[in-house]
Amino acid sequence: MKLILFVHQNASSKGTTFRKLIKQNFKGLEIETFQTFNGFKTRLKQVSLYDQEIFVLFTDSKDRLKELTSLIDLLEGKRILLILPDDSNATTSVAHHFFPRYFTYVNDTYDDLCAVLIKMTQQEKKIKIVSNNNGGN
Amino acid sequence: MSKILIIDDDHQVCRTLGKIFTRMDHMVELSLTLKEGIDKVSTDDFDIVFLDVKLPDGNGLNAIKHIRGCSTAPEVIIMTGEGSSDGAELAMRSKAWDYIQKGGSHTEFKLSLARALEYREQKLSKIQNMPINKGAIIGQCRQILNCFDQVSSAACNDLPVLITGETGTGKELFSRAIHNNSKQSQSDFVVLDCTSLPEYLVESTLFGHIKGAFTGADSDKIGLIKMADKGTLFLDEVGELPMGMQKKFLRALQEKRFRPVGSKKEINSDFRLISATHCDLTEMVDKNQFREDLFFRLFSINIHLPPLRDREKDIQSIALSRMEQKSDLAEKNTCTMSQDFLEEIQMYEWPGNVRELINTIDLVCSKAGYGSKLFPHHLPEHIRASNIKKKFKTLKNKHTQPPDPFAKEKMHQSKLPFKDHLEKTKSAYLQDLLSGTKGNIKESCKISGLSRSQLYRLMQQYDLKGI
Repeated sequence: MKLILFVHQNASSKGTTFRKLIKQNFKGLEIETFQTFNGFKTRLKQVSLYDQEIFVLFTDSKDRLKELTSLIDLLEGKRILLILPDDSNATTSVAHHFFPRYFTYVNDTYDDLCAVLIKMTQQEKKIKIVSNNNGGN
Repeated sequence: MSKILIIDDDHQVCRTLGKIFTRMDHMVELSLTLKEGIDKVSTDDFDIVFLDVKLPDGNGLNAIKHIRGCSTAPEVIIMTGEGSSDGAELAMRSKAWDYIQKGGSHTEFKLSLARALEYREQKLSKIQNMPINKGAIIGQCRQILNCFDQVSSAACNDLPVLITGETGTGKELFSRAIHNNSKQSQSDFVVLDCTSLPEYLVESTLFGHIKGAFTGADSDKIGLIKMADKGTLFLDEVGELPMGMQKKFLRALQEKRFRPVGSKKEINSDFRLISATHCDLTEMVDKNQFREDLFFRLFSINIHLPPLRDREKDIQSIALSRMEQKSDLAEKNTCTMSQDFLEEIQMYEWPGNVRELINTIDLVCSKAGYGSKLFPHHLPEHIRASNIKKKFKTLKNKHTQPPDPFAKEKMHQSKLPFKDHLEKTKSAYLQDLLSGTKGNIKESCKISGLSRSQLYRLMQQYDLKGI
């Protein structure tokens, strides 16, 4: 189980706060952070050896969200949580193209997002235990 | 002119029905054993198969799925000498067209045939008329083509769709295919993953809330149902939807109106619902873990996706497609598969289904290096270990007993409730006993240890006559 965090290097101070928050709350998890689109793109092209990855994508501007949509093919089938710049119809409509498991907004507290992440990671642990008990990999 | 196959070990039945159907201008073929019938269906294109239940080399009911899975997916009409409600139920569950008792008049056979042919004609014309955009779904096997037909008809209306199937079979891909081919395609496809959300978040995420509705509700928030207005709401793993939320959601689904948390005003949303689950919702309903009324609402159209192990023919095309896609995305050369590699991936059971196959292909391509030829050696150890075990088992079975093509169906039978299973076993035992003694009651009593009165009572109970 791994968290892949994308927070652009030029993101506002909220990006830094968010990154710190995730690192503090999910100390037991391996977290890989990307701060540039190129770095993130390269990572998406690689094969992951992890059974399950959760992608948390922080987009604090419409332009950044738009740029992220150029990677949508590489994100196909991934489990995505999105942080959106605003709650306008145009923004949420773009967000739905990522088929996110959950999304919230930059100006929200991230309590709910953390609760979702906790549930998802616990779920994974359960699946893993069941799969091991069944003799799976 | 249609092509009809009659599978029955009774020469008289075969000849009589054959004559009747030939007079109706159909082409008729006869098979006296199940094996011969299956071979014919596999190699020839039939429209309708009349299938007896008790055949010398097997039970016709166990062969329905196999016959329906053939390339032309013929309609199957079961004919039986001794009708039973269990048999009829099994036949219907296996998607047989009809279940007829042989004692009836010829008219009944003619009528059933005429209706089945009318239905088939209509079904085939619909398939030809409505090509669908399949998106990223790969598959040419009969089961998947049937699912495409269902996607096509689901896309034409607004009824709720429930997609069922094991994990990794592509439930979300199929739901997107329905959306993309429907009139809602110009609006959003909105996902709610019921497994990811903590219970306290479900209501406000689905219905939205107004400012001050609860602690932390600093502003109004639109819910996913409203966001799916004129589009599609996809409830993934709907079996996980909290019981407390199901009633409220059912109302929103029926009325297309709902009240956001904390609001006094109702708002409208004209959404189309597609839900998916890997759980057995009927079982959940029985255990009071899921509301029956919601279940019936969700179940308006059901598309059941087959596991990958039942789609052996598609494994190659899915693997090839993934290799091409991956190399395109990575801007590198495509890998190729050796024959041995292909055989290995076709042999494996793929408990994680298409998702597991795709992950495995990604992994082996990366391990071997893009542009390389893939050999079994590149596969993960657990796949090779599982295959080698399977090979040994097959080899062992070959020496001990002939293969049973309907083993899977039999396994499903063993999932009957204990009481029903016991009843079936008793009935089968008595049938065997009486047929072994050619109906000799004295000998039957001697073998079974039953008294004469006990035996007669059981024969009456299981509707058996002395053979």
